[in-house]
Amino acid sequence: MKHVHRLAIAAALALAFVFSFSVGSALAQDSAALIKYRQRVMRALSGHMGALGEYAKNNLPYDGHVAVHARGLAELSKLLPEIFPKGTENGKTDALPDIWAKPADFRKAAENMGDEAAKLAGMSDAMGAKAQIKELGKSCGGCHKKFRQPKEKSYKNKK
Amino acid sequence: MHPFRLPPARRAWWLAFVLLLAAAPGPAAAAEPDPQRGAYIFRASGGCTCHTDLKNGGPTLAGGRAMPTPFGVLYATNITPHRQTGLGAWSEADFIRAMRRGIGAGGEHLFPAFPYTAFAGMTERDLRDLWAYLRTVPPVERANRPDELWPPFGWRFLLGFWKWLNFAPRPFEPDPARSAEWNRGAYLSRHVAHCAECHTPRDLSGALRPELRNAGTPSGPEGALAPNITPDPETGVGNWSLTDMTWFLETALKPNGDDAQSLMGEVIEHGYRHMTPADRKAIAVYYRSLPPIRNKVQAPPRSEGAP
Repeated sequence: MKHVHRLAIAAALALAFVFSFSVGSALAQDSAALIKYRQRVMRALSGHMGALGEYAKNNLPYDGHVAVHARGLAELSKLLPEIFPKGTENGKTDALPDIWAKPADFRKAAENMGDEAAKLAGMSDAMGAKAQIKELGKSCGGCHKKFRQPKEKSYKNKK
Repeated sequence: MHPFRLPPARRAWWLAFVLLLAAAPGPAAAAEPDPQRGAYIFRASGGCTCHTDLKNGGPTLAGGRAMPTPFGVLYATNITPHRQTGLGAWSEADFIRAMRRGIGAGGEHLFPAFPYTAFAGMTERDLRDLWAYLRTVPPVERANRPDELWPPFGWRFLLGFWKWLNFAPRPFEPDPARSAEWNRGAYLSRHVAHCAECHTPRDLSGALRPELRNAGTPSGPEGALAPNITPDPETGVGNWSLTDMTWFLETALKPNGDDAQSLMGEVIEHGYRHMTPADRKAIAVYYRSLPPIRNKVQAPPRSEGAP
């Protein structure tokens, strides 16, 4: 009984030892996927924001759609603090180190965007909505100015 | 006989005559400068954010903003009406000379990071109104920081030579073949909003390259990338509609749903969004009329491990 017990412990320890390596390399593998995921989330944001822009500047007959885009933006804003885990600072990303150095500021900027979007979602008057779309547009800069690389330093600049 | 020694009735008539002369309307250029109109011109010029150290929360128009150039670092000057450290001791003529000819109140040449090359085409009325507005801005005591230019670029007298090569100030001449709206857009863009000053690559002497005017540069002011804003469909803004452009100049939102970065965001926030819709439209009309220049603007690849 004792002999089997020690064997079990030894096997468990060996597995844990091996597993500890694979966790590290799994994160390294996944960081590229994590970065791509959050870039798709950013695309989703710009999809909604771009649609709101087309609506507002061209006076499109989609007053009823504004709340859909606004709710989408408000919900997506809640994901932002979660999709920048440690280990995804480097690689094909334009995220700046301050996202991890100043997480409270980052969270606050994301929440601000969410608040402006929620305000828009609650509006029923089209004129007011157009003005609020402009305000919402300003909140993009709340993150981008401090936490995103400028174009001349983007990872997208190829040889 | 001296007017004051005249009998009272005659004195009154004399006084009335003098006052009537003074009140008579003079030529148009002698009209009172209008600081409110000047405030609008200030906004149309981009809100002068170059003269405010926004990054470090510096006071408005009090200078101190660092501008890295290929020639070294320049520090923007204090243009508040503070007497000792700003423009408080300048006259209107000093200001107009600076804007039109790039010469400071002490007779010194000014570095063309200050885009007098564009402002030189502003009308006298606009310049006078702009000066009147600048006089109303709160004066801030903040001494100008000396520029850190590598020799010989810091030698101001060499700028006389630079100007001889590159600077031929001309007032704006409307094109009679174009609409009033186009001409308004051309005037605003070339001489007030001064778009080409940022959106054009420069030669080794720091002068704009005329064949690539508005065609963008990967290393513009403060090293920022400035896109090609000619109507080329692949490398410029040829796929932008007129409405895309006017909306952008008002909100900094691009057709792809992203917002404008850094410096352009600043000049929209502090400047262009305060313009009238008609003026923004005039600028867009002007830009859509430009010949498309195929110029792909791309910065060098970021080095591995760089922050």
